[in-house]
Formats: sequence, C-alpha cells, structure tokens
Amino acid sequence: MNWEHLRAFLWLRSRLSANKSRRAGSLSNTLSTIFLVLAVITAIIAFIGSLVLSYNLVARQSPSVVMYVWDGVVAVFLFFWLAVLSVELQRSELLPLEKFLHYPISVSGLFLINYVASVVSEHFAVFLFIPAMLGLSLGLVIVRGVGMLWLFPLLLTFLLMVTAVTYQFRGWLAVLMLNKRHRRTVVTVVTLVSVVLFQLPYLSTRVWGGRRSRRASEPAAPSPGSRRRAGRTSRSSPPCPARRRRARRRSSPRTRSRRPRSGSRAST
Amino acid sequence: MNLAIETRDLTRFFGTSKSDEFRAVDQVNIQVERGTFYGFLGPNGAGKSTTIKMLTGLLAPSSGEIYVLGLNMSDAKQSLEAKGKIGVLPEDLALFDNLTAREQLTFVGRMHLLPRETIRTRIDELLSLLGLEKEEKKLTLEYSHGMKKKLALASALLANPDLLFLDEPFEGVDAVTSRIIRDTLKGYVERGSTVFLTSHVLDVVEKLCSHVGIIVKGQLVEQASLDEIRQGSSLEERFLKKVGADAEMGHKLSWLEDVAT
Repeated sequence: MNWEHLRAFLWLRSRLSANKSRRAGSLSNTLSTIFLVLAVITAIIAFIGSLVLSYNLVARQSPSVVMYVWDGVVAVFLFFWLAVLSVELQRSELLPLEKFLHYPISVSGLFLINYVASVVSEHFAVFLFIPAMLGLSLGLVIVRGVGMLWLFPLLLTFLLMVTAVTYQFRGWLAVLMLNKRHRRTVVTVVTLVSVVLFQLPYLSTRVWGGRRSRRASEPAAPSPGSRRRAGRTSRSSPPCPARRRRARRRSSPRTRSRRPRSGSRAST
Repeated sequence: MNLAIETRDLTRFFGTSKSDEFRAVDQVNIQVERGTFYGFLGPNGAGKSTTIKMLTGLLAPSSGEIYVLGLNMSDAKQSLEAKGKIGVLPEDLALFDNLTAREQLTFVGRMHLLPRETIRTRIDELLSLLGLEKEEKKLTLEYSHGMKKKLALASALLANPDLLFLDEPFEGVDAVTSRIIRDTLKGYVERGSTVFLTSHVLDVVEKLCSHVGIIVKGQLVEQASLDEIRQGSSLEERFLKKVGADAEMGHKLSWLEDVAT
C-alpha cells in the first residue's frame, strides 16, 4: 500500500460519481450543484456562527454548561449521520473489497485506503459538522486558553471512531445485500429502525412526558387543612368598592389616555 | 521442475460445525509447469472456482499450502509479490458498472503502479486487439456479456503478468469473441507465460491446453498432459468417464423419445 494506491482509489471514486451524475441527467446535475453550493455556504456559516457563539456565550459559561453544549452538538451530528447513512445505503454503489483482492495490495491496506477514500469523498455530515465543531473548539481555545487545544485531537478521534464504526457497519450490510433477496429486507429494516430511532425524542415527550404531566394534573387527595382554606376562599367576600373602581379605571382606555394629558398640562 | 503453481494438500471447507461441514476442495495437489497452458476441468460444483479463488488470494484455504511462481501465498509479503505478477479474470469479472473501458483499465494499471504513458499505450493496443476501441466511451453496464468478458481479459493482461488465471473465459461468449480470446491466449503462452484456465467448453480446452487437471467433488482425480489423458480417444469421453457420468442417461428418458416419434 502506498500513496499512489490511495490516489488511484480517490480517482476511482471521483470517476464513479462523475459517471453516475452524467447518467442521471442535467436536472439531477443542477440540483447536485445547488446542493453542493448550499452545503459550502452552510459550512462557512456554521464555522463563523459557532465561533462567534462559542467566543461570546458558550466559553464564558460553567464547564458543565460547555459539556451540555458539546453533548447537544454530538447528538445532532449523530442524528444527521444516521439519516445520511440510511440514504447512502439505498443509493450509493458500495465498493466491495472482493473486487480489489487480486491486486497487489494487502487486505489491511485495502481496508484502510477504501475507508479513507470513503471519508474524504462521501460524507456530507462530516463536511457540514466539522466546521461547526472546529468553530466551537476555536472559540473555547481563544477564551479559555491553550489548554483547550486538547479538543482538536479529541474531535478527530471522535470523528474517526464514528466513521470507522459506520464503515464497518456498512460493509457488513453490503455483504448481506449481496444476496438480492436480502437486499430489500436490509434496506427496509434499516429505514424502519432509523425512523423509529429518529422518532424517539418525540415518543419520549409524548409517552413519558404525557404520563408525567397527567400525574401532575391529577388532584391530590385534599387534606383537612386545605379543605378549610378552600372553603374560606370560596366564602370570601367580593372586592371592596374602592378596589373595583381602581380596576375599572385601569381597564378603561379613556382613563389611560387622559392621564398623560393631565400630566403634560401640569408640567407646562 | 520449474513450477508456476504448486499446491500441497489444499483444502477448503464451508460450514460452521462438523455436522454441516462441506468440503469444496479436499487435499488437492496441483502442479503446473511454467510456460504451459493448463486446463482445470470439472462438472458444476466440483470446486474449480473455489480452487482458483484460493490460488489468486481471494479466499483463504482451510488447510494446505499454495505456491504461486515460487512464492508462498500464506506469507503476506510473498503473497503481495505474487499478486503483482499475476493477472486474474475472476468468475464475477470484478468490473465497475459506472466506469468506461478506458477508465477501468487505467485503474488496473494504476493499482499495478505502471507509468502513465505505459498504461495509455497498452490500453490503446488492448482495446484495438479486442475490438473495443469504438465502445471505449460507453459505461461497462451498457456492455454485452461478451464485451464484459473481453474487458475483464484486457484488465488481466494489462500488467503483462507471468501467470494468468482465467475462470470460465469462454462462458457466454460468441464465436468471434471466443476466437479473439483464443488467439490472444495462444500468443501469450508462446512467449513463455503460463495460463491456468477453468472451462466447461471441452473443445476449446482440447484445442488450447497442453496439460489438464480434472476435479470431481473437490478431489483431483486426474492430472497429466493432454495426450496422456486422452489416450487415443477424445477429451470429452475421457472426461465423462472420469466424472462418472452416464453416457446413456439421455436415452433413459423414454417419454422424451415418445414425443419425438
């Protein structure tokens, strides 16, 4: 395995995508170009936005708040990642390693090259989230000092971990999908699991949140003291006439408009 | 003896437990001399493709040893060196649907680390020889089966290998393509290279091969020069005898004869 092999793999992927888009037609090409331009703009905005937000707000919060922000970013990233993964499984032409095994390249090298090439050329989620995460980290480094530089290797490790696990998972599914009868089942199950997974936050608020709110709204068994208090309020006398007058004055528009006028006269 | 391929007790079994174990290849000892055209024959499911997959490094053997061009295929370094010296036409052709013929061959050349200029010259020659120059801008998925076979053969030949493994190169190929492939391979062997080929087309094997091996139910039952195997009769007769086929089987379907009469 060497640099020339990696270049050959990147070239292969670029040719495969170019030929696929050539086959797809002009409308599809236009849409992909628009999508790419939007993605680049979004990436730039994400970087600048997260840097500004991090510098002005996040970095000045307590460590626990910073941790929650990172948790949120990671959760959103994983959400997008899974969404992209389920789409890619159905669309993209995966490169099975069997097609390369007879070339003079080791199996581990082949796996590594194919993985690196797939990370560089395919993952839009990485393309969008790396700038945002970098901006967030940079803001923290500027405000909190050089010690925060540790964030960068941690970020890299996290991305490599997620992409490597996904790559292996995709490879496993690709092997399952070699059988055309399994292919449909795999695509259906993956889509179904993704949909259920994405609906989990909603379900949690509807089911568990609903239960909690129902429990809260249920009237508690009244104690003898509270019953007495309730009786008192119900029996309490209506507001006195002076209070009623004050309330009426506050609510009528006339009194509101008169007041400033009288005030201005007094001042003159 | 200068051997291009040598296997010692090569075995491959499939299955997870002893009860459902299936021996696709069982203690096979193949010996192929350099510069020979070796035909590897056998009925369907005999273990030909499994053997060729193990010889080319696509599949690991369960036990046994493989030496290709004197290099031990179980050693990672030697296996890589051997893969640089061989060309393979696999059973599934290993082509990319969304590449043109030129792009496919360029990728193969780059994987073998050939210089750009050499790749370009060889691609021109191969496409011209195999009659694909007019179709070179078409994507492979638009090719017919015969054209795909020719392109896969061109991919195998591009790096100018010392040894060529061909899995069913004549299957589903028309007479013209078959003739082109045969002539190309003859020329290749005449210059001193070795071809290891599996085929069901016994006529072609008889015309091309100097040595033949016959595998039945995962075991090598015969291995010798073509003349020794034929022993005066045709290869087809000898082959049918070796695999234990009943030549009278067709006549046993009496109802079929009734319809014909």
